[in-house]
Amino acid sequence: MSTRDGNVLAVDGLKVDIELRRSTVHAVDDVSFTIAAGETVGLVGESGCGKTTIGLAVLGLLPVGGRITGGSIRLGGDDLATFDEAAMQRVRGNRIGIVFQDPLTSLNPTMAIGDQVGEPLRIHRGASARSARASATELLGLVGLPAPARQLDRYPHELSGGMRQRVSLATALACDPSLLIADEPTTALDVTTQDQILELFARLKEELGMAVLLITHDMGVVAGQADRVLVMYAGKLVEAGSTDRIFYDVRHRYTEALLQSIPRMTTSKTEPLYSIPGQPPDLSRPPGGCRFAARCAHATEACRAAVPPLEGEAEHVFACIHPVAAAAA
Amino acid sequence: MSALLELRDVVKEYPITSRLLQRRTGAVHAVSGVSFEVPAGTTFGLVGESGCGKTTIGRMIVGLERPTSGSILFDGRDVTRLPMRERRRLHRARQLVFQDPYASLDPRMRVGGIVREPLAIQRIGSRNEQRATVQRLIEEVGLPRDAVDRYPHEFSGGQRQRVGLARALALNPTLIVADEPVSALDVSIRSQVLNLMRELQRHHDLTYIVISHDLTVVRYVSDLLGVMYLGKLVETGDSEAVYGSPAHPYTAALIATIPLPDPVHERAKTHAAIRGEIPSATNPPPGCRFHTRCPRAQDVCSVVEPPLRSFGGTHLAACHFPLRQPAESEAVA
Repeated sequence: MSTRDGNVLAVDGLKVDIELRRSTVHAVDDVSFTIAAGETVGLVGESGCGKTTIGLAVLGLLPVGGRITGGSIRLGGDDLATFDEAAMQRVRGNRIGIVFQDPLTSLNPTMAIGDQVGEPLRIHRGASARSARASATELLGLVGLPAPARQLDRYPHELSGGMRQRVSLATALACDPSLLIADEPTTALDVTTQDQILELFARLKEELGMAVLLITHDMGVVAGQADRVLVMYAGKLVEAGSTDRIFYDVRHRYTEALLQSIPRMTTSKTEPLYSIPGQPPDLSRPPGGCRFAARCAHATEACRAAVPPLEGEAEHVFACIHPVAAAAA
Repeated sequence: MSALLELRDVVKEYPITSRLLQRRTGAVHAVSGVSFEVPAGTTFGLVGESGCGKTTIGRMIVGLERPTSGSILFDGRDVTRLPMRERRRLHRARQLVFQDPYASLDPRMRVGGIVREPLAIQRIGSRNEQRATVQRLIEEVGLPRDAVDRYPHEFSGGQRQRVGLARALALNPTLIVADEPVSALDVSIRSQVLNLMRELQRHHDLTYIVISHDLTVVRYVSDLLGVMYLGKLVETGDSEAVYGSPAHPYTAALIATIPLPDPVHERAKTHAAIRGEIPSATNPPPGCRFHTRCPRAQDVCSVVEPPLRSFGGTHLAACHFPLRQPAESEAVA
């Protein structure tokens, strides 16, 4: 189900506007990226940067007032940006699996977990109740639910947070999707549970060879899971590259500042923490030029004059006029 | 340094009653015999996962909950056994900063009113004096002067948390309990608020209790540390000592599982140091409460509850098979 160049997903020049009562928010502004089979791409950034909106646009689940105003979303041979709701219903849960942050709200509280995990197979594949149940048992075993056959008739509220997230992952995987979108899949979990779910993600990625879009604010989660990282700021993609390049050879000033703001176990306790002054811009009236310029210590007139283009090499691009010096090779 | 705050064997249980049987059928053991001391002017970090009892302890310290048994000494006096009027006066000295600055500020009140409310309730100063105090606090927490006339929704999460801090400071407290003060904030904003909290501590001689599930945040702000698991304090001591060489396997696992922004470290990490998930607090496991998930557990752990033992100085941990040799063989508590 991949395109000629081996990409499962190819987003090109995507623009998403969200109409509010008094203004229009340009939530995603000209974002392009690809994900190949077997590849995990981390989409990172802070609240309001547009990362979740990109995931929702791919899924055809934009909120009321949300609209794709430009660009394409190619999954296999299709442009999802042109699909209507009926067509998207045949894609979601079938060709694209979804895992959200809070399994308690994404799972149906009135449906036994066996039925829930088997539902995509009955809807998309016309599976019989019996075969869906058998598949559900297998899927729940795959995601590490102990004694899956005995858990089929239990309800979400009877499970712990970690187990619920395993169930929603099993549901997402039911139709063997070519793309999995996981939006903050471990953010609601405790660290010890998060660790177990992250291990499961890493194992499934090896076993199933899907393309994964991992949306998160947590640079630590991305560091361990992603092959490539996309960094967003205020609706724009500002840096993209292999995970190692982003963490060890960061070039964009925003990514640099973001990484420096994270307290580490070795951070000096006597000095103030590194912090980025100010706050992100209002996306109903985005500033001209580089959107990070107002908070950037290195900004000059040139940064405010025009939007810097994404430049660099195939493995690493960044949109910054005064980038961090490249790390010595 | 004398202790500004001392918890002695504090227990909090919430009864579970059956409407059908019209009687108590069980209890949630939220906090089960926790003791620690917090010297004046220091920051005590309380960490643990959801349901470990850390928030309940915070609420008991500021007087929003009363312990089922045990005592909480504030400035040498047991705040759980004070007459109403005295308790109200002592409330001024202990203030709480909440996690969610979206839910903890009244959306229909202007910021000035929110910060002034504690002064009005406690009838401190004239209206003009109260206004002046509010203006001073607003500026001290780094908000624009005109913030007093605006509503919470006009502010970002980080600015709202500054409002929360200004409100907490209005009564000139000596102790502030901050429950997940930066968990709802983005990283770039998080450090602004942590730096501000540190400045305020210096200017106002504050003692902090910082409650969080985020170990890197707690390590940065805390002088002393308490690690909780299922209602029990399992390890405590000087923050650097506990982080540097944890004695309890739970503490070690918590530290090891934090995802670090370092791909090489993360890829090399061996996962699943601890199995399963936190058991129910209505029916906590016997013996050491962590034994059901502990990689080092042996038979004795499911029978005998380990006492807190010293690992040098104030460093204590409750484990039969600790990761390091205890300082001396006898138990401390």
